[in-house]
Amino acid sequence: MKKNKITVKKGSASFLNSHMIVVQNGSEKETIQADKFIIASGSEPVQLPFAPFDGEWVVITKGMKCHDGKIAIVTGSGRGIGKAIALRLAHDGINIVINDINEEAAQETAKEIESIRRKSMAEKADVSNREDVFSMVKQVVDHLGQLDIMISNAGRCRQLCFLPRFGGLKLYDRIICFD
Amino acid sequence: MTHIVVIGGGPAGYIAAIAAIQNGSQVTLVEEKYLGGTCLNVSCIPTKALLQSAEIVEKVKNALTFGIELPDGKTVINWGGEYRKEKDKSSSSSWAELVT
Repeated sequence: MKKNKITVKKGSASFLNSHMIVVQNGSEKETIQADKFIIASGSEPVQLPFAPFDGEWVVITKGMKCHDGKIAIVTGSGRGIGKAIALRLAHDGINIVINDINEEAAQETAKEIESIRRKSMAEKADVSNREDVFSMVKQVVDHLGQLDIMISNAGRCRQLCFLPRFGGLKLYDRIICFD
Repeated sequence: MTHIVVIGGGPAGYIAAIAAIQNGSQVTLVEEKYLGGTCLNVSCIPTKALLQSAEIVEKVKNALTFGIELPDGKTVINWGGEYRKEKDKSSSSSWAELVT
């Protein structure tokens, strides 16, 4: 190995242990021992012997996009950003629970989700109310059997003035409860 | 001297390899297909080169608009000859020489 020169090996690398890899190029195999390894293989995954791909904790990039059949609640998804999040997740194969304080808007979004062949249900719940949220989650688990993803999108920020004549601390509490 | 192996010869890998060697380590870089990565070899850069070729064809076709007359009026695309020589010069086979 020359000094100040990068040695280039052609082939695919796989780990034997944390200090050794084998580089395979066709039928040729070469074992390389090193102190440190830098994995810069982009979207081509490299399997580590001490952290196998189990599809749950260690996933490959393609696996990260495999959400088929998962259940997500998106709060405030009757319209706006929440609706866009819900539709995007539905396109990735996720079944969506549309939560909104406006039941009509929630049902409309749920219909849109169903039109792209995903399961969807509309749940009216006020996310600033703890009991409402618990009851919604229970309903979802009872009806759909599980809850994998919860996206707290709903938010509110109408006025930033907490003077008594603009709503005072009640308004402050409401914003904090929502968010 | 620390021996560092970099797996992947794309823009992340070669920058890591260069940084490691500049810091006095021994470096081995392992690449399966294209030194320089997908972008350099088969994606971003070659497509920009093709785009440039297409723009030149378009300009030559409209040469008369710029006051240039091409008597035979033909545009022939030739990916061999000089083009191939230039391409081979900049191909990844010489990449390892360029970075060391």
